[in-house]
Amino acid sequence: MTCAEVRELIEAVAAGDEPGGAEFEAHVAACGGCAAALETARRIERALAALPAPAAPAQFSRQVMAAVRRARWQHDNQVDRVFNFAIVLGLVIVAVAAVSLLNLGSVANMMLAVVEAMAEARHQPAPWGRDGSVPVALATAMFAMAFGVWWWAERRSASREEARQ
Amino acid sequence: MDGFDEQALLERCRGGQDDAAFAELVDRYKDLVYGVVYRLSRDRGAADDLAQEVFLKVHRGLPYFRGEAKLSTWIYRIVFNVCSQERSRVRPVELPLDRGEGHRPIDPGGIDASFGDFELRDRLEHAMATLPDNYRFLVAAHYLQGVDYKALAEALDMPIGTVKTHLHRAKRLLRERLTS
Repeated sequence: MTCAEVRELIEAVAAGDEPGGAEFEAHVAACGGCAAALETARRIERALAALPAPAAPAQFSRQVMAAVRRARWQHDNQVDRVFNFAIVLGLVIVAVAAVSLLNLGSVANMMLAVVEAMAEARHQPAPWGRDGSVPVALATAMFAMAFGVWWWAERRSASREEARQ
Repeated sequence: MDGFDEQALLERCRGGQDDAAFAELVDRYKDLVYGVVYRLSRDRGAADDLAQEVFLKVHRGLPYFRGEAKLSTWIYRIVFNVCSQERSRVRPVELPLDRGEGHRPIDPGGIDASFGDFELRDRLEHAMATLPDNYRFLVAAHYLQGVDYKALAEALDMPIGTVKTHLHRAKRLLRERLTS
């Protein structure tokens, strides 16, 4: 074996990962440089094993848990914001639909004409008059439902915050 | 930690709302994470931040952790990724290995007993700080935290033989830098 070949193996032998072998041993016995390198590698091996492992600071777990709660709070806030935006958007859509029914009348008349035509085809009276009160009642119910969902979501969020504190 | 305990702890943590379970997980793994992160950052403040970031990632990732690898293996992988990202953002300060003017380089062949000496230990730590990231991670995890070759191979997704080869090269670099 040459010095280069031996030095390729020195760390593996020092760590006990390779046995070295007769040729390796013979070379190290005859070569002062390689013997010194092997000895140094063994010392480094021992020194690394003896290096102290730094321990986490005393307050580390508490700091991590505080960071986890902060991250969760930020995430929940983000979800709440998205939810509130969706609710507001829904309300706007319902409001626009209701205004269309109240002011334009044409949308309601079109719907009523369709229902009346269907009722006439079956020789039954229309389920409501032509004043559009039922569509308005439906729009009001949708309003109430949207507000209800919004109120429920806010209440749930508030109770979760209370539980955390 | 035996498999059963780890599984039970994981189940409790996965709900996301059991803070006591996650605090237990942090307590179990904090020294392991901190020890490696500290060796990679060489700075208490940075190590605190990085170790905290590791656990935040663990917390976020737990619901998606399928348990195919050991929890500790998965955590090593996160440690390595977090430290690699940090190192690519901030260039390290290279620490000189010589002892300054008036001091000859240390001859390890002549100071057998002094590897227990504080000065030499300090120089070894400085030499470790100049190793490439992947080598330093391997040395810190294997020697300081006792992570075996198999766990390292799984964490870094490489064959055990490659892990050994990288460790041997890392130690050769240490030897060359200490004796040059």
